[in-house]
Amino acid sequence: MSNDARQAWQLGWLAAPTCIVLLFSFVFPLALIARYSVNEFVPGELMREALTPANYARFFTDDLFQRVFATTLGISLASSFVAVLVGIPTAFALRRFSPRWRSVLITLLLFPLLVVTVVRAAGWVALFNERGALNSFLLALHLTSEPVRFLRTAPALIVAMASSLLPYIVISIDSVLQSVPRELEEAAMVLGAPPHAAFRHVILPLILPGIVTGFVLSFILSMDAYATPLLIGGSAIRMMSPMIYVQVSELQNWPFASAISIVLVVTSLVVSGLITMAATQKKWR
Amino acid sequence: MALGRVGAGRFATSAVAWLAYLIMLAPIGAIVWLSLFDSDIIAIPPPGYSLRSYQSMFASGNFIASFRLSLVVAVGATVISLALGTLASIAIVRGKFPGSDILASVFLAPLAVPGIVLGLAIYIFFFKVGAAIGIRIAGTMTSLILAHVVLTLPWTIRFTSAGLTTIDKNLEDAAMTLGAPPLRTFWHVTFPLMRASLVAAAVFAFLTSYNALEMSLFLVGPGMTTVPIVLLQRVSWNFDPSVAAMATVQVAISAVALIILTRLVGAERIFGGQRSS
Amino acid sequence: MPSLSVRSVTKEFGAAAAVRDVSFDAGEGEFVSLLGPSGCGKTTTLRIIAGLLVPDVGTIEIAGNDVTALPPYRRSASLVFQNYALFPHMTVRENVAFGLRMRAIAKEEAGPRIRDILDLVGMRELEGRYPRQLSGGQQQRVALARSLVVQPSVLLLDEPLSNLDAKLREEMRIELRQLQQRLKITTVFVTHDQEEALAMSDRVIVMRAGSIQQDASPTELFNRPRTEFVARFIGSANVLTGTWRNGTLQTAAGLRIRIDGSHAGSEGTRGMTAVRPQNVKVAMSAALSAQDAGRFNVAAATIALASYRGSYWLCCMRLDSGDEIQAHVAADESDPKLVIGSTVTIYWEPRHTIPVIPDS
Repeated sequence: MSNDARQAWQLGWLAAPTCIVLLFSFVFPLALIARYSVNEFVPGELMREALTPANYARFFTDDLFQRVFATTLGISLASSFVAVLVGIPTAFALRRFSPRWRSVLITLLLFPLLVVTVVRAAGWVALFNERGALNSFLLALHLTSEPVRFLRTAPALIVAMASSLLPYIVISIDSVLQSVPRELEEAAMVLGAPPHAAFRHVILPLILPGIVTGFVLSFILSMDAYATPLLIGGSAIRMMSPMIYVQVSELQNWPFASAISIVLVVTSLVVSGLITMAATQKKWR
Repeated sequence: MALGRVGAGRFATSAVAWLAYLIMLAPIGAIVWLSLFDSDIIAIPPPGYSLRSYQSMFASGNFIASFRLSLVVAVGATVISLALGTLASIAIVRGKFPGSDILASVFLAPLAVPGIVLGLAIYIFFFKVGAAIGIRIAGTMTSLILAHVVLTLPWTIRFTSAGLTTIDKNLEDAAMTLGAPPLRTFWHVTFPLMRASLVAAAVFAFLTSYNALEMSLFLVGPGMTTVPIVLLQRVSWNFDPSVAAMATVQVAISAVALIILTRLVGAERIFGGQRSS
Repeated sequence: MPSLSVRSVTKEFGAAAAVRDVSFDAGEGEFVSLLGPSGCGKTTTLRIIAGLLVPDVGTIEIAGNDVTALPPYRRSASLVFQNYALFPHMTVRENVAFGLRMRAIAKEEAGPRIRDILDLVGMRELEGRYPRQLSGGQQQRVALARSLVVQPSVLLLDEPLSNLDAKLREEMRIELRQLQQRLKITTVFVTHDQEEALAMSDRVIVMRAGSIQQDASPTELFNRPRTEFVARFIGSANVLTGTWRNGTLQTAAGLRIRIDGSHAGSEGTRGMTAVRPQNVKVAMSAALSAQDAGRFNVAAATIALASYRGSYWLCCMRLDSGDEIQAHVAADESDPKLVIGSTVTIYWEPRHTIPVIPDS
């Protein structure tokens, strides 16, 4: 091996510390909970070694957990969908600005992402509360006679989640949109396509990958969400991440919590894969 | 668009865009607004405005303690993560060995796992390992820092790799032909050129660690608590303007970080877009 | 009735006027070029005709209809873009079919039309390919086919050949012109290449800084440029300024330039003339016969530079009067003795003196 090649090869060793850290703090722990997910839970005894599918079975057959699963999937899909619906026009609106203003607007978009989810969720609580900003506004304008219950409803949660997801979607679509030259739109119009037809036949197929990426990312983030469902959904809308915490902190049921964790990760991956595959099949006109 | 035509389509997209920004920024605005209430409870409309909630924030028991812990953990995690991440990105970007691409993807894997799951896994693992060797690991500050290192590594690697790839290899070659051995080349040429992305990586790692909630939930020992956890508890049980004040401090820290990041890296580059200016 | 009428079109971008009071017509089947340096407003004018820009002042009429207010998808004008703008996610066939689809033309009618136009441009076998699988020349043909299949009243081309290499460009020039003549379609062609414009067009409109300098046939443009700019832009020209006295132009250095009859300016006014290097002859011997001296414009000159161009020598000379003149000296097998520093006599016929309007 030449000197250069050997040097390049040796540089690989620099990654070793990181590998070790990840091995012990990421790979092994995950492997462990995968293993524990098939252990048996005995109240009082923490855990008994076993190879039982009981935890998974319980999750999928028990009424309560079936609902939690369905809720998590439903809210995640709905939030991502709303975010995409609102995000696409927003990305298009961004195109109209000069590069300087675009930068400002995108920075503004990134700002919420750097703020702790808890703080943003708290903000929604302040807005949605019975004595919160939104209700005060409605009452003051005499649009309702009594405070409306926003908290612990699905629409409120979806809005709060969508607000966290929007930046990802807009950036994802925007970066793809940048690579579509204006001339394609112009060519379509000169050939007789009114703006909506130009969008449908020319632009949409080309930005679809960006939309799909944004949607999948949003979906995964929603599935994993903790603080927002906890504070906005409360006891009425229960999702999997908060559930995992409860199982450990209040019930000390490690095996079951592990099982739910594995289900969460696998479901996210599977559904994302399905969506990506489905989207790349269709629309190519 | 040089079309010069204003249509219903343009109006609609502008309206939706306004709505989008409103939805994204309203909660933050609400919190900041709340923090300025001159009252002990959240009552809208407020009796008046003042900075009194910020004063009471310092008085409330665990704010100082949680602030200190969050800070210490964030600094510790950032330093370790930055060191490890820089080495790792040198390996991935400049090194040529079989599997370097796979390794690069593997390093980003922690991003794909939910925070709760990762926190749980690390907690259980440390608990068991600690029980096996007789030292308590889970629930110590070390375990917390280590977990945060895992959380921040993907970001430090991503930022430093990006910075490294933009450096022309010819510069390093030039230094070497002028007599600088690899280590000195790195110190005098590569490192200074990477400075911007190193700072960006540090800022982002710090913020990620400081903001981490789910990862910390399981690993805080008795008597330990971080700012996000305190916020969560207070908002759930005792939401008053001083909580909003605490949250606003978080917002301010994020804002400062954002300004630093955009100066260094450029707004869109942070999340993988193209820098337009 | 002209196929296309552009009337007093003005378009401003901020403080600068990109197009200023531009008017011209294009008859049926005519090939008109908009020629000029970059920034002269030719592309802006084209985009206004296409409907992608709305003029501040003026009207556009296509086939007798005022289309100024109509969006591009309702006009009967087709535009071929400089970098083709082929839809990357559609095959060649789908690209060409697009315009027909937008007009909701039934498949039975569209099919044969697409087939015929692809045959015409020679892209039939590649109809299943995607744009990225095609060469530049092939992409250009597809772009052309796409614009032609909708049978527009006016075909607009925005520097379509500038992305091709020189050899291909020449071939495409001929093909394009033949195609246009065959289809008898009114065409407006934007280019910055004067050779191209002269070779292909029935008429050339030379533009500069947003205005039309001259609108004429290629031969007229070459032989009778109206302004200094046109004289320099089309081919090359020797430009001399002076004052008109007794029907000749007298330069400051004392050279007296004769011109044909009525083209002379009023007595005492400042004037400018041009003469093409091709028309300037160089006599090796130091003097001409008196008879010739009477017929021609004559001057003594010193050779400053001689540059071989294959079919001729480009000879740069300095006159005794101080002006500089270029001439093309035919190169035959015997090397003429163009020695730098030697004295020669240059002369040209008065009919080759062209009066031009100076640029401001």
